[in-house]
Amino acid sequence: MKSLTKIIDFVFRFFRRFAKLVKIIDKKTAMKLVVKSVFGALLISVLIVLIPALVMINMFIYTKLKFFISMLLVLLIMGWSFLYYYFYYRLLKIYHPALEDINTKIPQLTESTIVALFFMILGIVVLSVVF
Amino acid sequence: MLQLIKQYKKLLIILIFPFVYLLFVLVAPTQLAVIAPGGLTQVVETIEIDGYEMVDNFNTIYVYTYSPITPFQSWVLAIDETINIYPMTKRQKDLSMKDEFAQGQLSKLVSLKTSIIKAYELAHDSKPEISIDYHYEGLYVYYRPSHIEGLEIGDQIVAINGRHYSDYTHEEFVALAYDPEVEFTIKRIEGEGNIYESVSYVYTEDDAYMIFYPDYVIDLATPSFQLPGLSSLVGGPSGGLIQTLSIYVSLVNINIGDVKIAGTGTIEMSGDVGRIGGITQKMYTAIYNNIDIMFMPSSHYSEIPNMDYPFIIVAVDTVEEAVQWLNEEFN
Repeated sequence: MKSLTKIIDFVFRFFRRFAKLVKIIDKKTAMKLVVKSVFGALLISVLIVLIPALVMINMFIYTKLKFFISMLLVLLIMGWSFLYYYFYYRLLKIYHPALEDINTKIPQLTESTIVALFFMILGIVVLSVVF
Repeated sequence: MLQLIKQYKKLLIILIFPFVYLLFVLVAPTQLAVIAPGGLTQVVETIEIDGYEMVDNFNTIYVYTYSPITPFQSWVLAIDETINIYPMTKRQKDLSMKDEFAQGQLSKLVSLKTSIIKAYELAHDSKPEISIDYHYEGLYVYYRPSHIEGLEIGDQIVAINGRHYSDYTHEEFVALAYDPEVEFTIKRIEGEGNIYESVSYVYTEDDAYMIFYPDYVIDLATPSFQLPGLSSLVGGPSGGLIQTLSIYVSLVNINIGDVKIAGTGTIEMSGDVGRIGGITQKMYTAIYNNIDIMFMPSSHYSEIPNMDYPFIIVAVDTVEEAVQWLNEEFN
């Protein structure tokens, strides 16, 4: 019971810290540059995953591997979310040098994980419907 | 963004060429098509006959066809002996994905109707209470050069140059369709009624010949039947022979135990078993699915790869030969 309370306490403290950091980052960033960072990060991360994604899509021709490749594709999309947030915060820091002193690792990893989990659930639902 | 690009300028310059090259080989279409091993579909999932239990021994074999493939796919597949890569035919180049799907569904419909008619006729010999009435209603368009406006795959041709199907046999009527200059009268189902349109066509040497299927309409069948298989996405005519055998065996109640039978070959109203595409890939599919007996058209027998097949191969020219083989083996 004590350890459970500890875990819950840790999670709450972590999310409070996350929310605080996001608030600080929001205060120090301009909307126009955030949009630029989003599009920049989208472009870079999509270009990076494009080739492996296309290789996987091409391999769908092996019908026996369809399920396996579909799972790999879901993993790749989950990985893409980490790449996207990595480049988003990297660009954001370039556009806003004031963010250099702020710990962006926590928002970056938290947001990446949330998006990756969303893609994982979506992937499981789609795969269970298709196969 | 520019700062990031400047930072990695050298690396980006080095990577851009392999990136574009890889993109090209992964996306660009070639003029090649592929046939790959597929799977089995149980005939019991395709046809339901009222008052009769369909036997679950019979399976049609399907293969996958893709066209066009990318250069990457052609390299990867070239090392796989179970897969056949070949240059796309004139017709394949001319067809859209929608057309190919329509072709698959149309040939499946015609094949199922022909199978029902043939199986009922064969079963009628031993069980006179089984009967079927049908009549001929012209031609289905299976392939037409895509530049012909107003003529779609699946359209029904009821008259050619003013000559109505009702005055001809199928063989005579289809011969009219290959005149170099024709005017088709098309019947198309729209909403709750039929619409009739005329389409003119002059054959040129650049065009591949059209392909037509007969449109037989079943007026009355005893026992009645349903075709749930029509809603499946798998299409094509190659299940004809095995569908006919499955319906026949179910109607005359031949006990074939738990033998797993698969097969391939189209079925004609004359009872002839026609050639199919991808026989090698169908043989591999049969091996992967552990079947016991495989029916195939005789004309393919000399083309199959030379290896030890773990099943009996029955090569036939007509459905009557296949029925006779089943009767001798299991009755």
